Formats: sequence, structure tokens, C-alpha cells
Amino acid sequence: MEDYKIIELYWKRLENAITETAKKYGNYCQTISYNILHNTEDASECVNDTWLAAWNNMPPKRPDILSAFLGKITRNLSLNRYKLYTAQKRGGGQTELVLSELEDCLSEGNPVEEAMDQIELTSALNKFLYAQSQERRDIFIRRYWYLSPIDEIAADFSMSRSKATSLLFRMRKELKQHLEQEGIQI
Amino acid sequence: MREEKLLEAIGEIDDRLIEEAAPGKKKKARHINWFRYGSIAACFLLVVILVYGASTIRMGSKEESAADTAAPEEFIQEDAAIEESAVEEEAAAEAPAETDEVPAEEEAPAMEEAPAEDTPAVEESPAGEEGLEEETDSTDNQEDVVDVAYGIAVNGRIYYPISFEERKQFNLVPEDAIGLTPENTYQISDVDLGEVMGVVTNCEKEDYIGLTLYHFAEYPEDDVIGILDNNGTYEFYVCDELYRGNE
Repeated sequence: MEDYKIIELYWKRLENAITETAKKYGNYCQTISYNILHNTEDASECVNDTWLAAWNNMPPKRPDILSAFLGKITRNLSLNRYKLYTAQKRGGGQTELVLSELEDCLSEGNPVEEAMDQIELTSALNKFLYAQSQERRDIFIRRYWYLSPIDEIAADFSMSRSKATSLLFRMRKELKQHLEQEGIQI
Repeated sequence: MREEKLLEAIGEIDDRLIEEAAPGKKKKARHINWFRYGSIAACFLLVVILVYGASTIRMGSKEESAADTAAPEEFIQEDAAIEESAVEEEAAAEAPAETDEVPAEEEAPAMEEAPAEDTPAVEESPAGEEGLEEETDSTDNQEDVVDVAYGIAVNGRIYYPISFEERKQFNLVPEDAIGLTPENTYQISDVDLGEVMGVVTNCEKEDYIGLTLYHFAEYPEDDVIGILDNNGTYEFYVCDELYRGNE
């Protein structure tokens, strides 16, 4: 079913909206959540929570891109659950690795947290990503938005693991430079 | 934690970027399969090399067969064309003279000893050998030229169509001539036929086998040059082996 029809079901408050969403985007959201949590059961719970959140948000929202809308909900829910994991000393998944990689993008020193404006930071990230080639951009997003394993990214982009790793390393350095030029300190 | 904040900020990037990068979405197609295209390119290159190699070998064998003759191969071919066209002319009732230009022009760029600019291609056309005008299209003529350029075997020796330089050596063209023209082309007649030298025992053109090669009456004892009776059309042939021995 086309996205606009699914959205219409939500707006009409028809329950098969969730069935159709799960049918079309169940695997997509499950992958996002699993990459973060590395646990199938927890990932499934996050996905179900996603349908509930979608039901609660539509209306009033009418997303332009349904997949990204649902993916963002899943990702946020999964990251919140991940924080619970760390509190309970549970690990696993790509999240720890990704977080340690993202340290490369942080500026030196220890600026106060208030200095970082989330909207400004996201805007700078968009600018950085749009300046990249399609392939570089997609690889970066696959790693730091979808939290996909390096091996999977390398396979999907027909490159070696070491090439994907070194490409991401260079991009992190470039992002750090870009954020500094934009006057953003994290 | 600062890196968590960054991870959350990344989560809010444009929806379009997220959608484009979604797993399983046309990633491999974007990559050029170098192995596949490389294989195709290698095959193409191989074909080119083979074609080029085959043509080079063929040309090389032709040059070898006509090696060290006084005249370049082009002249042999031209003369062959002269005599070959004469055969065809007999079958033709009438022919426009301007068609002579066609085969001659094709040969002209390859000339070495008689520069094309000094000797217009039309003058080298084979029309004059037997005083007849030819009626052949350029393609047919070209094919015939290649065929007869290999020569004929008589008495165990190979004879080739006479070249321009060889014509000079046998005083068949004026000494100051710089190319073969209808005017300076020697007209062979019955009186030029000497004793029978032999019969063609082998030739790439099968219909040449069995034709008679006569001595040239001007040089009755000389086996170097002969006149081939091609069903009433006379053609000069020279034995390279003997010709070089005389030099």
C-alpha cells in the first residue's frame, strides 16, 4: 500500500493503519532497533511502541516521508532503551561502538553542555551531509543513523571493510573540522 | 555525554537523507562492477588485437612474397589490375573512359616510387595495356588486384605481374617516365610472343592454372620476363628470383 494511503488510514482512525504499517515497515524498524539494542525481543517491543507512537502522532502530523518518520521514532525509542541498558550495565549492539567512534567528532576540552544547540547542530550536520557525494553520505548515515555494522555497510556498497572503516574515519575528521568552522562546540 | 548528544542530533537529520540511505536500497547498483566491465573490455581488446594481427600477418606474407623486388607491391598490384581489367574488358562491349579513375585513385595513396602528385592516378589506370577501356567497379577491381598479386608458378618458379620499375628495366616505358599511363603502357601483340616458356601449374586464381607463359620476343633467351596468354589477353610477368639474380 502506498504511504499516503497508510497515512490516510491513521487520519481516519482506522485500526488497519497499524497492520498495513507493520506489513510494510516492520522489518525496516526492526533492523533499526536491533542494530541499537542487539536484542530481538527488546527490538520487537520498540517496534510495537513505534506503531503506538505513530497512532498518537497522526493526526495531527502528516509526514512527507513515512519511512523516515517511523524510523526516527524507532531510533529514539531504541536509544532511550539503550540508556536503560547502560544503567543496568547491559551492553552489546553497535551503539557502544558508534558512540566511541563519534568521540572523534568532538572538540577538545570540556565545553559546558548548554553551549550545544541541538537545532543548530542538526542544521550543521545536514549542511555537512548535503556537501558529500551520495555514496559517502549514505555510508555515513548507514553507520551513524541506522547504526549498521561496518561489515554490512561494506558489503552493501561493494567495498572492503578496511575501505569503509577508513572512509568513515576521514568523514568523522571532516565533520569535526566542519563543526569547528561553523562555530559549534560539542 | 557529548557523543550521545551528537548521536541524537544525527537522528534529526533530513528525512530525505534517511530515506535515501535506507538499508537494501540500490546500493550495489551505484557501484561499477569493474570486473565485469573489465572482462568485456579485455575481450574487445583481444578481438582488436587478433584482427590487427591477422591483417598484419597477411600483409607481411604478401610483402615477403614480393620481397626485394625493384618495385613496391602497389605497382605489382596495379599492373595486375591492368591485365586483369583487360580480361574483363573483352567481355564488356563498351566502357566509359572515366571509370578508369576509380581503381587508380584507390591505389594512388600507397605509391612510393612514383609520387601521386606527379603522376595523376588516372594516368596509371590500366586502360592502355591492351588498348582497351575497362568497365569494372572499384570494389571488384580491388578484389582482383589482391588475388593476382600472388603470382603464378611456371617451371617451378614464381612469376609476378610486372612492376613499373621492371618495365623500365626492360625498356617497356620511357626512361623519364614517372608513372604508368595509358599512353606509355606497352601494347602487347602476337608478334611479341616468343617460344613457349611453360604452363601455369599453380596460382591462387584457379582459372590461371593451365595458361601458357611465352617468352618475350624482345628477350627470347631470357626466362626473367614472360608474357602470359590469358585467353587472348597478354600480360607481362616477371620472375623475381631470376630478376634479382641478374641485378
